[in-house]
Amino acid sequence: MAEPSRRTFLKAAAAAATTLAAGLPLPPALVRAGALADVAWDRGVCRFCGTGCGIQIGTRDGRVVAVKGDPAAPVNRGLLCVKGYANAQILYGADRLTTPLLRLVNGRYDKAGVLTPVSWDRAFDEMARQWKRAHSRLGPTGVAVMGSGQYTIQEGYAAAKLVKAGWRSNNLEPNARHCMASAASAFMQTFGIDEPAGTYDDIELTDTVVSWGANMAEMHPMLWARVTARRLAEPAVRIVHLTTFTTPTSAMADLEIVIAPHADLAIWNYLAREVIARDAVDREFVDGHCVFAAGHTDIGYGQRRDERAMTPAEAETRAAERVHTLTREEAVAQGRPEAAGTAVVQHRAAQAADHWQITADEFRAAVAPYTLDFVAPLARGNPDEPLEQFADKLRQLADLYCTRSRRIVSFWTMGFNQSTRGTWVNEQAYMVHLLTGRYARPGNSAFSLTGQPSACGTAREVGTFAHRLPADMSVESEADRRRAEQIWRLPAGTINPLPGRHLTDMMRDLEDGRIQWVWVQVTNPFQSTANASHWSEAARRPDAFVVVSDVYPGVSTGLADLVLPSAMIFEKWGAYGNSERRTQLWRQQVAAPGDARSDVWQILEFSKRLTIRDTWGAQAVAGVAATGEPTGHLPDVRSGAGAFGYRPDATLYDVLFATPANRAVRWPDPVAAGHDNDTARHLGVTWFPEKALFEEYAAFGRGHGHDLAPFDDYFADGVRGLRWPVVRGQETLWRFNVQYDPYVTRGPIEFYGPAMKTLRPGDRRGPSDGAPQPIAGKAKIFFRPYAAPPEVPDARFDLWLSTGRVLEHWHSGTMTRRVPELHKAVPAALLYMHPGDAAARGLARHDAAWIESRRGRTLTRVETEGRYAPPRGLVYVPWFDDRVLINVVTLDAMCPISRQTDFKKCAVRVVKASPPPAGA
Amino acid sequence: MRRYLLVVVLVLAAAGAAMAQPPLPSADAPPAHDVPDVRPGRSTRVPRAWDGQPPVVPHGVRGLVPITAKANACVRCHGRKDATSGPPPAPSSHFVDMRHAPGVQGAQVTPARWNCTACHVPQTNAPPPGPAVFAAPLRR
Repeated sequence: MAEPSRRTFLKAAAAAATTLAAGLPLPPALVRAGALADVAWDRGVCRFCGTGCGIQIGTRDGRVVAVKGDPAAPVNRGLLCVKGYANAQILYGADRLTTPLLRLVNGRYDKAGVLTPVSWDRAFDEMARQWKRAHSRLGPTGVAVMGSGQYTIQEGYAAAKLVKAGWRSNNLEPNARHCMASAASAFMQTFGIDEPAGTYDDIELTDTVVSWGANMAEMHPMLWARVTARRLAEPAVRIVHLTTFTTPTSAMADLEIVIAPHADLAIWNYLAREVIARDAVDREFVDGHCVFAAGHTDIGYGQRRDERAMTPAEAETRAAERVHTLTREEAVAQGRPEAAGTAVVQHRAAQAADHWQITADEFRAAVAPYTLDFVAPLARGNPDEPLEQFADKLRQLADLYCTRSRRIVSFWTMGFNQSTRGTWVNEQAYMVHLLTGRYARPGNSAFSLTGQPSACGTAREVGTFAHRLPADMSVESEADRRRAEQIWRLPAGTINPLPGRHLTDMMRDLEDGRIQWVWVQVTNPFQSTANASHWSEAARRPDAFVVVSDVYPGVSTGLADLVLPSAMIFEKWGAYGNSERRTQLWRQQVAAPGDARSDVWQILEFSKRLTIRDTWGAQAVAGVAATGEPTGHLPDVRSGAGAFGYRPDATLYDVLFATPANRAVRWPDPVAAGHDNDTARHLGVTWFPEKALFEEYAAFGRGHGHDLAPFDDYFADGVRGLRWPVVRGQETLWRFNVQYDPYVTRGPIEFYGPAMKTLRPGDRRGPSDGAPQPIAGKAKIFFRPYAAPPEVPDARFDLWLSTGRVLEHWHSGTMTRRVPELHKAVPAALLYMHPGDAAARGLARHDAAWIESRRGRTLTRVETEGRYAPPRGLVYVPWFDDRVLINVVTLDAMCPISRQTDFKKCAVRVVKASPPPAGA
Repeated sequence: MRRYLLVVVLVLAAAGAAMAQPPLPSADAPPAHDVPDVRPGRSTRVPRAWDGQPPVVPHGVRGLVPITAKANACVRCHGRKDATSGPPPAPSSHFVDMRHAPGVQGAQVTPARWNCTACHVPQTNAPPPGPAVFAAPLRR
């Protein structure tokens, strides 16, 4: 594409914002001090992080006017962080999107046109026309939905059913792929079922909290309030924070350990070695409930399958995808026969998830090289800290894990999950907790925190991933597909047996023209996906049609061909599931502005535009022959549709959503207690879409270890969410433990998760020829070695870059940057760096500087003070700021098992920006 | 070739855009900003934007943060229960342990509220958010 034409396109892209983002966010019309009379209060859940704080929402005259922490909510007991208090203000930014916008030239859709207000009918007509164009050209894999861990449960479920059952495409992915896919992979591999055994209650029951790379003080502030309260109340409680740079979480820690990026992999194995050497193994727990396991090592880094779309500089890093040069540390850590410097072919990328059983002796031998002398130099993150002092800190950490009487909760989140070995390091946490019997027991927990409010509830439990079905089921399992088809009343063979593309591959496919229609909902992927320059270009390809449902203009709406205005959190009915398996529901409180509509309404309305003729005939899908489908196509299932009473021209709305069972769930409903339902109103139906979808979804999990309570129960007095499995009205506090979990049939501990529960024998190097053995009821203690990242600082790009969030802003900032107090607290994403590193580059505090990588560069100001203190050699830039698009710089390498991007490590350089010319 | 991808830029779009046009984006870094170094006691209280909003911190915090288990400069000044003069005291809600003893007034700020800056945030001298906030040059 010629430069001028692209620039024209991209200028045109700006029209999304141009037409509407015309005013300052006005001070929201909230209640002034002393004027809280006549305010109606109802329960809700915070819109932001995975903590899942309960809130009380105050409304008056059709507007949300106040928010407070819910004293009855066990999660937060009346407290909220500053972002939580902004739950009302985020609704009332002046530039809310209130009407659909379509690119038009002279009244016709044109990729080069201006985003122009249109009716919903016009919007859906074009959307369907473009869907059929992409679908007829490319089949079910040519269309995709990018969803969210901020989807309500009902939104995610409706999207999953539309994409998987209706379109027979598995191209549905949540932004949670970037957030906790590694956690989910590790749960499935280790326990055969997703999500933690314990709950937040462990905080009040433990005497040791170890935060592994999680800046909980900012990212889970109200959980950190519980940790802090525990620490202050009990002098014996100890807090440890392992981190690559000093954060506010360090301030409350008794021990801060600044580690090198990726060194967590080595530290866990040091701890495992010490646990064995110091006889701190809980033998009864390990012998009774665990087996040892190992997997492939040379699995690559999940980069692009070819270099055609890459610049030469990018291709330098991609070279490791084929051949990785073994480092000195890896040669030891992996027990390799090859010497350091050997070129190791990454020949196991396609079998990255394979694993097998090893013996306890083999495990012991595998961790043997991880002595303190070996690990300390590798793991030290601050080059200015004396090695002996650092080694002593690791020894203190080992003392804690090796003290058998000590109860320990290990927390982690993006520091582990966003890693090219994210699944491994999650599994290593379970390794040490299982070895010491510190799992599924009160006060003892290895707890994977989630970043988003419904990463668990929607992304994982509903299964809005390309490979999943609800309740941990997989599209690759014939039995799981049949069960889903039964619940969904679909002809056998409807569901596509091939997983869809994961989120980053969707972007790559868009760039390559393999996906030509994408619908983005409740996320901002063109800001949040690593190596972002590529994807902004991809969106503007002439053959791509990009639909973005959103509430405010942002990077993704600016790149869209069709923008759909969405209702926000309290403008619709919804449900979220937090990190501790707590499902929380809320009622619609107020109406959405203008023509903004709920995402459930959007999905259901769009499903009326497609019929089973469009999708349930034979569909060409590459690779389907290998799954045993003799025709090489997804089968024609239309003949089977008649048996369910579906007419040949039935719409997807008819067969998927307006089913007899759903229509029997009547609206109005007493549970509403006077609250509206604009989804039902705009659909023009007398059934209750959000309740019907919730109950239909719950059928997947009931009796299968994921039991949700009936919809109405969540609105009962005194209930503030319930932690699944909810069996006979009782929530479950510690899974797998016979004292607390009704699913345990053979106590005291039973890891009953059903997935991946037969293992071949083998050793560290690989599987042997022995027959697979069942390991029902057991968890796996994985040996996972230290491995180097694919891109490390060198002479040209000499600094580590880590990215992340700040307390005051949520994700890409589209909501929180419109809240005046939050904006004034943190107005811009700064470049946090060590004063010595700054001085060495001629930089002083507040100087403008470029951050450059092999992929791109962005400009911001240097900060050498404030809340973060990186060691020499590492810089930190948050990603909330769309003027400082740090994801233009980051690397789209990922964990090959979980397909989660490593946003915490790439190599950059920092260059002083020349001052603007005088008088400018 | 150095390429500039102007993405969510508020520029004059193709013919027909009838809106007033904001200026072209510059390639400047975000404006420098800081929390003004106003000493506690010398600052003016910032009114709450709405009833129930946690007050923002109207003074500088250099040297006062971070808050640790042993040192909490905020509580030192604002944790004097029912003080009638001097720094504004934390309200009575801050002296109740809602998890373990709801309804009981303690003598000290309850430990769950120890991390004051989780709710009360200092304010920089940055200009308020405006349309230009959402102008984003993508560069590579």
